[in-house]
Amino acid sequence: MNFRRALRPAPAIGLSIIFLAASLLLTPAVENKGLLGDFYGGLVALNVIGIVIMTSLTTINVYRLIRQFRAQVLGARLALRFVVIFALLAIIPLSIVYYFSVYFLSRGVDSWFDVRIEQALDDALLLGQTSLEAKKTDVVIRLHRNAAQVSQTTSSFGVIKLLEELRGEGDFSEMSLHSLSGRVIASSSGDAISLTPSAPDDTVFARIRQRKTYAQVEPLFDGGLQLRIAVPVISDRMGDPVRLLQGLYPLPLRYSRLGESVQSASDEYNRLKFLRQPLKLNFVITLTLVTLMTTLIALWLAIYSTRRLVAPLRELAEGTRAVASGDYLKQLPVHSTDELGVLVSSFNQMTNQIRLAQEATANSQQQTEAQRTYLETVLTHLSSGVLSLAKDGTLRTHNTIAEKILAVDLTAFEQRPITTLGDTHSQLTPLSSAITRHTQHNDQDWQDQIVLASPYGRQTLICRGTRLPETTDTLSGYVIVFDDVSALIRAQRDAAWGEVARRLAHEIKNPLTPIQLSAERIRAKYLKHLAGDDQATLDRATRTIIAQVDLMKSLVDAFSHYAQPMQLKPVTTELNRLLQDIIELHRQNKKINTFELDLDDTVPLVRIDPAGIRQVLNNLVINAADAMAGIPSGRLTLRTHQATESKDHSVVLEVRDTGPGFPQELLESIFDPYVTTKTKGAGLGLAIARRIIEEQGGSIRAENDPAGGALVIIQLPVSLDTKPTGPLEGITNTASSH
Amino acid sequence: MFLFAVTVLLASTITTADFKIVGGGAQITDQYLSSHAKLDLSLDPRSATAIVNGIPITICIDLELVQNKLWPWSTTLLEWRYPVKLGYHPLSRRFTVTDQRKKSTAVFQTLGEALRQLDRFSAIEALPAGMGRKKNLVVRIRARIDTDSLPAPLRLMSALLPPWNEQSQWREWPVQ
Repeated sequence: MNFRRALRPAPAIGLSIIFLAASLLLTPAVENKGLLGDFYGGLVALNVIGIVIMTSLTTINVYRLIRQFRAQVLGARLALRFVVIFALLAIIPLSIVYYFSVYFLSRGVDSWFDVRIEQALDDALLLGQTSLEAKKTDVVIRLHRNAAQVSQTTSSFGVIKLLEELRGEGDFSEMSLHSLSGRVIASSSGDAISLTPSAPDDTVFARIRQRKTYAQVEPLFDGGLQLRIAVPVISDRMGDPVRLLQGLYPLPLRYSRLGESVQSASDEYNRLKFLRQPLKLNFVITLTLVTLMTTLIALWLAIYSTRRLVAPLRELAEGTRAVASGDYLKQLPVHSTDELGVLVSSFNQMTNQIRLAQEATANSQQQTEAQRTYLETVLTHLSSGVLSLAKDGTLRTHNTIAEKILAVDLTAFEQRPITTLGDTHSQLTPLSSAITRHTQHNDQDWQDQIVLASPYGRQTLICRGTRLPETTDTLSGYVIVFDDVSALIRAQRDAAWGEVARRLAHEIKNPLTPIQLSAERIRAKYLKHLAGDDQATLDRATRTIIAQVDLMKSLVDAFSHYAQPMQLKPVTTELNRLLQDIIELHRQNKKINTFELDLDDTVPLVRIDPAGIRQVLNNLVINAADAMAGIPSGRLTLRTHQATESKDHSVVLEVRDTGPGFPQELLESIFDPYVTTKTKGAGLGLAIARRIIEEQGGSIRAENDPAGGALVIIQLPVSLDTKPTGPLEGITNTASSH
Repeated sequence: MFLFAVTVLLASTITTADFKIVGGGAQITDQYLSSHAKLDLSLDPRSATAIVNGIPITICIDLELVQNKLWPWSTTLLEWRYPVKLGYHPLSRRFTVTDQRKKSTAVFQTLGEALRQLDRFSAIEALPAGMGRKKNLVVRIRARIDTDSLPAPLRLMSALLPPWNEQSQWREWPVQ
């Protein structure tokens, strides 16, 4: 894997080396050294291709970097910064070197040329030409003399012989006589293998035809110079045609060498001067190519190095991001053993440890959660209300039973002082005060019986508090456990009253019958035997006895009835209609001036025993009528509506009169047996009413209307059925007054 | 000054470079290929100036014996090169035409005369045995400046600039 990774850049690096070598080879090539000079064009082309490829590679890489930077890829910013720094570090020095190189190169090439040298070379060349002209003039004069001699010779053989002699005497390499038509008349040559003389060209013949002399220095193929001189041969004899005498005179070696030397220096200078601009251009191109290639390779290497450098950092950044997002399984590949490799290894160790710690924490949390759930389940299913308070008396947690007992949404009071419970709900003030008192005293364990005047009547709580051991701030505080014992107390009281009733029935009712019978016998036996006052006294006494015994019997019957278990049959009932029926029965009651029904049509059906409710309402109506006796504008109001203050679904029935109301001292015990404001009656009507209501899951309470009069509030449970299931008719009136 | 004068003179006498093969022909006789062509060669003033400044220019005449086949491309059987160097001799103030194969140098007063010397091309080459019996033989000729013989600084320019890479189109004739 690492081997492959190490080999990945090999092609690009190989390519870079080839291009770099090609650019470096340009330098000897431009100086025309050996084979490289022949391949200069190819090298330039290879360099241009290399530059195009490297430019493409660099551009692609830079474009990728910029795209990654714009996409905010991790590490792209750092990579781009490194590349820019590397690029600046490479380009700035190279640009400076390039500028000065081009400048000094141009100046250096220009410095090769000097006007004085040029003038000297021109002068030397002119001197050589002048010298050659002098020599040429001398040879021309000699050839003219020779032409005169030739013109005197008539025979061909003589001409040949003469040319041979003249060539030898005049140091000519060749001498030939031509007719103007180009025919060779005679010739003499120093070269034994030369069969034909060097023919003069048309220019020469043209000059001769004009009777002029042709003289010209000619370079030879194998080096050296020769003079080609041609003169007309004009005979004194009439009719002889003009002929052409040509002599080739090889210049002495000394002349040739000096001339060639001067010419060579002048040629070289002129060639360099002509090639000055192309040479500069070649140097500049070479320098530019080398600089460009070096810069591009440096840039590419910078990008490659940056990528290699940034790659572990990018992986690290991605790793830390993964860890930040909760991925503790993230492990990074370790590519090297340098400091970055050590860093990556440390990161892997760290994530391992975090993962293990996280797993341990998760396990711990799971256990804690399970315990908390278990505790919540236990608390929820407790019949007791539980509150937990912080050390400063702030409510921390509670269970649902606590809310049910207190009929308050305790969630709204969490993290608030427990005193606010009493401040916002006045009926809970005794509870909050007791808790506050004990927490302020820092009592270890305490127990109080607290009576609350709840909307549903008197509520008795047994409240126990415990101070938690102070381990930490979060765990210290108090736990308050309370039970609603109202029902228990009420049951105990009812049981006690039942026992009283049973004993009354047994201990009192039994002797009453003999008493009544005895009184009746006394009356029957002795009344007729007495007269006057005695008779009247006996009559009155026996009547009284019999009446009181009847009264006591009815009293005992009432108690007996109260003590007996209720036989209620709850059915789904339309309460408003039941109320209308009951009121119709009491319309003729003269004690009540006005009946007012304020019935909410939207109240749901209730699940009650209609006979029981009829009995309760009869009692209440009769009580109200008695209370309003003698009050001309006595008014009885029945109002129904759906309960809003309680979580329980119930319908509220309010019975309100305009009488004097309940005595304040009796309000708390008005529903107890034998509590009555009437001079007659057993005081069981309201007690029975409460039993009937509570037996059906409802509640009843009494209070005085602030506007005057008594107010009895009954809450009845709502039925789950949507249609009435019980008859409303045929219920006998079994009300009893108090 | 003299060189400047010569250059101006050249510029006035030589128009833009243009190498053309005007006409020609070829025939095989007794295993010898005899070829001739009429050329029309003219040099760019820059090339002429280079010659005057001591930079000889070699004009190479390429001769190829080709056999045409049924398919679109042909087969080159033999090829010959005839380089002729155009130079200037400052001492004699003459232009020279050096034939490398004939090992001879001709001297001319003007470059135009020197170029006219090259107008007529003829060559006789011996052929391998049996070559003359081949069918569909064609001779083709081209004239060009031999850029390889230019000095190194001009070689790069010759690859890029017209005056230095002048060459004619190929002209071909069936071998008689």
